[in-house]
Amino acid sequence: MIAIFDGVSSREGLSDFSLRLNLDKVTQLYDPSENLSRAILYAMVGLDELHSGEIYFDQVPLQEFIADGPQIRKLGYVFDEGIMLSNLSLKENLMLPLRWLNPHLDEARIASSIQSWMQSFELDLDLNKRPVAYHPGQLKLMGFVRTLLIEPKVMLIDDPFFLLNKIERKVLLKVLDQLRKTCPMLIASIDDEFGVGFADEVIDLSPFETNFKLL
Amino acid sequence: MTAKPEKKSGSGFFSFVGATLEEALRIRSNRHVSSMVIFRQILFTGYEALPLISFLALAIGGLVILQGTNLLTGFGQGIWVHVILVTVVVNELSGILTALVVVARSGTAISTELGNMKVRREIDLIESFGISPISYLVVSRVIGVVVAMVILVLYFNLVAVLGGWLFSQIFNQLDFRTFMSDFLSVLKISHLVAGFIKSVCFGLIISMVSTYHGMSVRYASTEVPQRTIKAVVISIFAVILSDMLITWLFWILK
Repeated sequence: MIAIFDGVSSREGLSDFSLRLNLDKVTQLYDPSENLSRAILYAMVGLDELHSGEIYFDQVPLQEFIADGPQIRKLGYVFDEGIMLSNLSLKENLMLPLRWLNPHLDEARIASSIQSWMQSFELDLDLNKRPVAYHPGQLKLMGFVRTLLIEPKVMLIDDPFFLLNKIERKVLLKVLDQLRKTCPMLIASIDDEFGVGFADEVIDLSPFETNFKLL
Repeated sequence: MTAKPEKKSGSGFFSFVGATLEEALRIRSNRHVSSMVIFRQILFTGYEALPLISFLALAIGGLVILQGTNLLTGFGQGIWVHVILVTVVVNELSGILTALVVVARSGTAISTELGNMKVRREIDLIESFGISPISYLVVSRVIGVVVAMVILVLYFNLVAVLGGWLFSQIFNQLDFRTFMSDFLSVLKISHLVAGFIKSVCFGLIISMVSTYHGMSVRYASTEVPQRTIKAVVISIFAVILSDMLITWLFWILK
């Protein structure tokens, strides 16, 4: 899948921004400011408001792309912070997008899938507890679990190492390294671990800083 | 993209209400509306408010009977105390007092919760799933508050009448059947219809104003209490104004 930003200006700060992204492989968006890369990911999942220009996915405009079938099956966005709905338990958080996609889902199969991913991320958490019971790094990894359960075609990952400690970083890198063969990723990060020997392509966004205006 | 509230804009509120009503009207096919959120809202706004509503209703019903009996028996018009109970409590106080309780408990809670969700980017998260925040968070809460409000007003009336009867025992040993018979003789269907309409309107006003102000928070947690205060003040004004309007309309129709 090819994503094309064509002269996009947006609420989140993109200003006459143009870029071509190949979403069939692992791409790192290298952005020292970290604002532009987030704005790009936000725009791709429809969280931004475009004032002018257009984003195309395989020549399909963004709104049509979003309207055509569940968007999270296509683009699974992992936020930089491990955002969870604080009034739901961890299990309810994991199930929310799945239940929305399929109200009659096989709970036993999902439960085993959750356990399997949690083992991969070396997480041992009580899923009946609310997110507040766990530290941000654990919640961030649970955010990855939530996205992986949906099995999106492409994962958009905003600052993967943010909030993680040294051990959690190693675990995450190991899991993503296994996934990179089967799941294309667009990673917004300035960490060398993704730039050297991991990403198929690194796009340096430094020259585009003039196409971003901080709010 | 879903309709997003604009800051400090009256038109922003009305476009928000429009977007909410649009999504509410196609509720049967709208999978974004969550029965779990509706249920939890009814539980919080309705069930958990019952002790406070019971206390208020008993006290108000009793006080109306107490004051009414004191006043009217001096003129030999003791029977009219039931008319006062119907007019003051069933027509006016039950709706207004229940609305004030709902504003104080649920309006503040909704505004604060949504405001904090906005700051913590939880609403962005919901939107990134492709779930409409308006349907999932707003429509579900509006339905929950309206249903709870209707039930609470009905409950307030029942308990107030019971309180009235209990207090009337102080002055004269009136058996419950006689008391209710007197009460029902002055109660008309129009009183119940007006009470129902008011409770639906109050529920809509409180939930719409609170959700709008909660969703209007943009970046900072300091905006949350400011928005909550606005939600409370505007809700109280709007509830009383709409009460006056509905009462006036029924008075004209009579």
